Amino acid sequence: MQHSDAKLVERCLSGDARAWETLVRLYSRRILNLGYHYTGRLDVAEELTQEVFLKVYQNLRSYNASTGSLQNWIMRVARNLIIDHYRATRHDRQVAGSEELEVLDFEQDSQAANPFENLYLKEKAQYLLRGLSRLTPELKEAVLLRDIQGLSYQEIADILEIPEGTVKSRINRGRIELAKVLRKGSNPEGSAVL
Amino acid sequence: MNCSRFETLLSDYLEEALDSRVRAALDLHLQVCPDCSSLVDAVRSVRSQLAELPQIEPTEELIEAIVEKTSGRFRIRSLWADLVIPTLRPFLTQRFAFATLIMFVFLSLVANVIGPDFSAFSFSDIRPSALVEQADRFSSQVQKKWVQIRNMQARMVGKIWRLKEDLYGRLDYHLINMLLRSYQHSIEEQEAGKEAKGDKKK
Repeated sequence: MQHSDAKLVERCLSGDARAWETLVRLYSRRILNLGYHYTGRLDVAEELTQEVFLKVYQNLRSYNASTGSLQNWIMRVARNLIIDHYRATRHDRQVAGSEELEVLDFEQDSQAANPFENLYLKEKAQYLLRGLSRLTPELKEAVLLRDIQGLSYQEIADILEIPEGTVKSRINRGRIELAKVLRKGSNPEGSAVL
Repeated sequence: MNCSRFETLLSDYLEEALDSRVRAALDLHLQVCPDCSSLVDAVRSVRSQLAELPQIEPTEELIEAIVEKTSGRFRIRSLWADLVIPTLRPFLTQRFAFATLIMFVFLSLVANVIGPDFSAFSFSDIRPSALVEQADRFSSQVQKKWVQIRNMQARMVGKIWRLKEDLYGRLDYHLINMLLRSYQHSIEEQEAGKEAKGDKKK
């Protein structure tokens, strides 16, 4: 995997535009979703995704395949930018009083068989995103990377540059915190988390 | 096992990452602690709901924007997409295609009737000297045709003039005849009047 990463990066650095486009297509979905689930806003997530790739493009020479996978390296760049954005907009969010979440329609999702189900999924997603927005950045990113992005503890430790034990602890605390936050609010699944 | 210890191991418990001895201890605690039992259900539900959150697919516009912002690969394509395609778009319609087809058929028919004969074409015909010769021949043919048209026009004008003069002549003849007749008629009336007066005096 890391061998193919190194090859792809090498091609990008040699000016192969097609290789760069391949790289963008490979990782844009993951970064876009991380940004969206972290900020709760698609427009912000798209902006952040563009910024991430701009940063990756500018710093591609500094990637060293022997120190880890390209995915983790890109995710680390993404995570740092997202955290920077979170800190930069903290004041605005405090002034606004609450997170302005943008929950997308799921009409294209095969899960949503009818408009009622679509509405239900939308409410459920909004409810989860709202709960996530109440967590501290450290707990939120750990939960997102594990439970939404589906990364391993080792990969998360690599991205966050913290020991694996700390990752496990943050994920555990994040999940419990989220469950408790959601328990206080109304849950679309009724008593599922009560 | 107490609740605090249970919470610390909760994720490992749900992910089945504990050895059987610790797991059995947690199971035992769950049987007697409704709070921890409720928390396990809640965290399990949260995990499954998070996993079911829909994933967004990046749009083609976003990919293009990223690539253009970085390597600029889509710049040429954008020029094509921004200038050439919109310019050609009005022509890329069924109506335009049909009109073009009709025009092509019409021009083919016209070319077939009056155009050059391609069946007699040979490569010697496209030598520069042959082309000059053909152009010369063509221009002299055009000049001849032009002279013919001018002559035909002159003849037509002459004919029209003659017809006009003839017509005017005929009209003049008829007018003069009519005048002469009316003059003769008035003289005859005057003479007839004089004769009638002479008879009365007698």
